[in-house]
Amino acid sequence: MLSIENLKAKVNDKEVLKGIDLKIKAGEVHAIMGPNGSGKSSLSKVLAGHPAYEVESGDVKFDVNFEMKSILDWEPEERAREGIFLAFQYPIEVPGVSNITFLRLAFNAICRHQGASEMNEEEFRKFVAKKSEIVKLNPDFLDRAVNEGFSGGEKKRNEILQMAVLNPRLAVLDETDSGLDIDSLRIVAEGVNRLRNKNNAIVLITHYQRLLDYIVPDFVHVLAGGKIVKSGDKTLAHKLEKEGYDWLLQ
Amino acid sequence: MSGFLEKAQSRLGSFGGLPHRNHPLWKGFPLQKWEKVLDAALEEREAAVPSPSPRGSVSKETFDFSLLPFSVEDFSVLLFRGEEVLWLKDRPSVMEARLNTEKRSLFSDPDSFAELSLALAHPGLFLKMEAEAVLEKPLLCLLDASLESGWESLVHFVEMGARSKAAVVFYSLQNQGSPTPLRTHFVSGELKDSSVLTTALVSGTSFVSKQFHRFDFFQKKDSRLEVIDLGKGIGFGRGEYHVELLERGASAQVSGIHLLNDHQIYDTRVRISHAAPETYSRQNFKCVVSGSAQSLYGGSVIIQKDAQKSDSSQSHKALLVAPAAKASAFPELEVHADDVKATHGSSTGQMNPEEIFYLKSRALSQGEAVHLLSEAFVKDVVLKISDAGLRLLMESLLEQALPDFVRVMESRWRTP
Repeated sequence: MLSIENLKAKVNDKEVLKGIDLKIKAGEVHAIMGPNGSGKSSLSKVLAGHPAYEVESGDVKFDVNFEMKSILDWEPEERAREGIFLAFQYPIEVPGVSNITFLRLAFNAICRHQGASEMNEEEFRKFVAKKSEIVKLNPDFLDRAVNEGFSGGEKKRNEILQMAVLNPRLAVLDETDSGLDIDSLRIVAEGVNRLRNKNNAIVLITHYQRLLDYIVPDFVHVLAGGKIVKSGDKTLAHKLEKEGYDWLLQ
Repeated sequence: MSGFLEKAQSRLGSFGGLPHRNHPLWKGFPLQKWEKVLDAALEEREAAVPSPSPRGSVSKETFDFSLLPFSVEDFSVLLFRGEEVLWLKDRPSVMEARLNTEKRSLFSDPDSFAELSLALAHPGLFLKMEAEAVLEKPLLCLLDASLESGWESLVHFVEMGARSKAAVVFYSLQNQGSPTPLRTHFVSGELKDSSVLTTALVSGTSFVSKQFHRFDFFQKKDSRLEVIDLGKGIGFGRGEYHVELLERGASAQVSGIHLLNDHQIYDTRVRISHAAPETYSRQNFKCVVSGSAQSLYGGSVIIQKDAQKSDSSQSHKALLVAPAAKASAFPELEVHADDVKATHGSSTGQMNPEEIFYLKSRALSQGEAVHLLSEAFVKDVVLKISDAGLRLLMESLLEQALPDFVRVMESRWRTP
């Protein structure tokens, strides 16, 4: 579904990705761990098409109708319409725009692109109310401005609600566990598990093993200095939890 | 030749010429461009040949309401065309509404341009609300300049009796396929004790439209005035608002939204004078500026010595959505009383690129993202309109105007 080949990228003239190779298939969950500043969030932004990041070399290919296509020249919205979703580490507040309006516009933009029927306000409200249950988000949040005045946990749950509504084929969750208390972490993780299926893939970017107790990955990769320095199965995360990253960086 | 140009120039000369660039209410305004616009308007009007049947045939039965981008079901409707006024729908009985044939007006400190426009003006609306009268539906005044050459000037007057209540919309109809004249509208009036007037001006019909309007209101005890100016894209224009809060408890809310694209220029000038204790005023202007358009704002609040415990605030915010877009603001406070609340603020900024990226990462195009953020930016101005009918109308017009605004913006992005 996704193939990253020798990806090198910079931001503000600083090289942050120094040759990433990664292949992800449908149905897989990949965890990406690593110390601060190792390039984890940069990778997520490059995948989503953040304009501040400049790809110097390499390629990112995504399965579109059974054909692997390079997405590096695509705008962020084109990637989103093809099914790439980034759950932000720091979800952006958008004052004056209600959650429900924003979600419906996003949902309908994807439907239009994929040739599916769009939903009117009434249909969409019913649809999204059901999705809200997945992350136990009170429907009142739908009429509030996007992320404005939300607690850290509510913002992260709102990101997973967006994921539930937009139903991406590839979801990149950038430190979705950061700032969450135990209960919120469980709710978010349960939500992600309910959305996990054989047709989609999930990339979990995290610092901590605890998220991986709830969302069990098929693969764990360690990113350091802009490169993947170690890959393994879920036991690698346990080892990192016990021993830290030093043994990999020496 | 009608001699119109000569008369107008002579008239302007007798008023001392156009206002000088140092005039406090004309600071920063592109006067040279304005002079050219005026000269062209005068010359075009001079050259116009009067039509033998100048008023055409328009009647209550034949007027095509589908030309309007909104439903008139909940409005009483009047049409102003040339020197005629025609009731099109639901004439209310509680008021006197007719042509302002005597061209009644009340100006606070008129300058030479106001004097000239008034001298050239056709009669507009004369609305008189008797004491206690309440207008059930907002009054929609359609301003049709299609018969005008060069310059359409109308002078309206509103007299609100004690405890009366009305909402009035001045809506400039788009000229179909004819040159766009300079449109000047003067709305003035008096609000007697505890009366409530909500009034809106909707304009901006094309990229080449040129417009000047001025509101002057004098308010008595506990009266309430709300003014909203919605500009959907005016080629070159200026709106002036002068409010005198003369007696205790009078309040005024003056607000506006302007969407500017290409080379458009719009200038907003507000002067509110608090002359009595416990008076209240709010200014809230928002503009979204794209292309190489320019927004200007000058807001002045004067709190006089006797206006203790008055409360005033002014806010002007400009959102620039293109590198060459410009906004300038000149907020001023002049406070002579010592027990008052008075604030002013002005900000000019760009859209947050992280917000744009967030929306784009959720499948919205750049244009859709700009549309959504622009709407969010200006919406509070509309939500503060107290008259429900007017609020709904403004919401609907804004919903229609924003896609047009973004469409033009996007087409410029695509042009190398």
